[in-house]
Amino acid sequence: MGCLSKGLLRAYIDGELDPAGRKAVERHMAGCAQCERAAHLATTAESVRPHLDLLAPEAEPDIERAILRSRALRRQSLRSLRDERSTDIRTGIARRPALAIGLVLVLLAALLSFGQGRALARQLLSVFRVRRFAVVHLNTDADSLEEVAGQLEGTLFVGGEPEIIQAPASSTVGSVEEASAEAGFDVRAPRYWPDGANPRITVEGPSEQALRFRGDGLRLLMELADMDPAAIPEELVEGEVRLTSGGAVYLKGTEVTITQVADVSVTYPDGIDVAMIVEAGLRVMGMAPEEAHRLSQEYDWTSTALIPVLPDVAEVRETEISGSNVLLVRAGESEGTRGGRSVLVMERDGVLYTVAGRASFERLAQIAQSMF
Amino acid sequence: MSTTARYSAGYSAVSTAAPDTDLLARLRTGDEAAFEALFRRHYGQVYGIVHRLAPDEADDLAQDVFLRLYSRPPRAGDSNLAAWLHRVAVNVGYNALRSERRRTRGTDAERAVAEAERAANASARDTEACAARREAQRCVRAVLRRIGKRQAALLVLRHSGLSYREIAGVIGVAPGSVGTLLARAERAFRRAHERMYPPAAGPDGDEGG
Repeated sequence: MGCLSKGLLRAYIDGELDPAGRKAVERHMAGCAQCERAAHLATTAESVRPHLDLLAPEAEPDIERAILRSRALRRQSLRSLRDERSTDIRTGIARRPALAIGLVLVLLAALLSFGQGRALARQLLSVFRVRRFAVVHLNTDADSLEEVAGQLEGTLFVGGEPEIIQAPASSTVGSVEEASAEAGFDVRAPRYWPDGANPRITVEGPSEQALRFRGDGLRLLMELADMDPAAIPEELVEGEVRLTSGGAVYLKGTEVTITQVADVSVTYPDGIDVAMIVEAGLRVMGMAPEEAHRLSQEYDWTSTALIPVLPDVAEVRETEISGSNVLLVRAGESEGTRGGRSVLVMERDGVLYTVAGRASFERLAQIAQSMF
Repeated sequence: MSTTARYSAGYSAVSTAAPDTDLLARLRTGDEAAFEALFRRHYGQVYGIVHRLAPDEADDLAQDVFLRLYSRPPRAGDSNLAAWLHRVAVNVGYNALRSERRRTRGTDAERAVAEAERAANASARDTEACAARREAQRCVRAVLRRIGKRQAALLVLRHSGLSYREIAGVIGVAPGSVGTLLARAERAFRRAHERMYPPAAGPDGDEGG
């Protein structure tokens, strides 16, 4: 029609145009008698304004009081941050593989509820009954994830931390042979210890954990992903993902820590279409719908760990050691981690191995290789 | 354009002294004074945003936004700290708005029933109720909930005094498309409001505007 666009007119009404733009609009309107849209837009804007004006704070906030309160809150948060840090990437991988929660739900939780570094650690911990790894490069940033996290926070999971149903019994042993006898599986050690010293060996017994989630949370996830929330069965109010491990052994040296976890399995409640949740998860994390769908259909999610990798978080490499699919990840320089820390993850004969330390990919691969 | 003058005055009054980027860099090294300077500078605007979405929790939510800044500051490379803060403010505010619905209206089924009843009754009572200021605020927020986060964000950001350029930074679009989006959001608001709270029957039932 040769008329001006609504956006331009709306900007004109708000006085958001530069002088040249304003003149152009005015010239157009003077010569365009039928152009009533400006008036129409203005009416709509005017009809909405009083409603929103109602929401304006009645008084200025008391900034001095807010500052005082902020000081108290910061002290508190520092304290809880310190407590959290003791289970972060370093000790997390070494000491608490049972914290790992299992595939997608957890990967999502991990990625969403923690700083990027910690998220990475948790993702790695969340590798269960894994036969292969699917690395997903996500073209999204921390802010967008923050946004998604904000929306799911407090809705998706009940509580947040998994409930420990059977806590593992832990003991320190003197040799790899002893560890094998105690743990009930063949514990592997590298042919040599990189730093010469003997590792500290800890054995943990079987453990079981449950992570409870809400049906409403899943529905919200679907909604955020622009998928149909009705696909989550109506009768699903709460569900539980159960994780069991047959036992774990840690070999802690000064350069690297090797973790071996046996017979890890995840059980999902009936009626949950894991591929669909994966698809929704990938979509909220910024993947294009077609791509998310394709990928979600491509793997068997009961045996594949999904490792989402943000562009600025980590370096990832896939390789093979003695016929097993191996994943190497370097934590990026971000809050909660120290740069230069790498993790190798692999699965072989039902045992999940991680080798973690401040070492190059080549070094970690070399150590892992010498174990088999 | 007197309204525009009012809008922008509220915003540009804040910036003095060290730029945000410097303060942010200092904050990332653990500088508490830098944090408080940023707090003073941006608190009012952040408070204004969360208050519009969730007035009862505005103090807590505004603190929450700044705690996030404190514990997980954005990268120094993210030059636009104000946009980051406003984005987080919209997120936590809208989140609270959403969960308010969960608290007050219960399950999906109850919600559906309530909505059906509302439609059936042509909600003359609701319209009346909206006359009281506090109720009216609740109604406006119910409409914001209905039109979805993005549209609600546009309206709230604009009405808390951000310029088109600033809004564009917060929601991640080109400044040139803010006008279009805003017009669309206003239309959506108007329609939703008319649907949810139809003017009371009678010739004088027209809502003020």
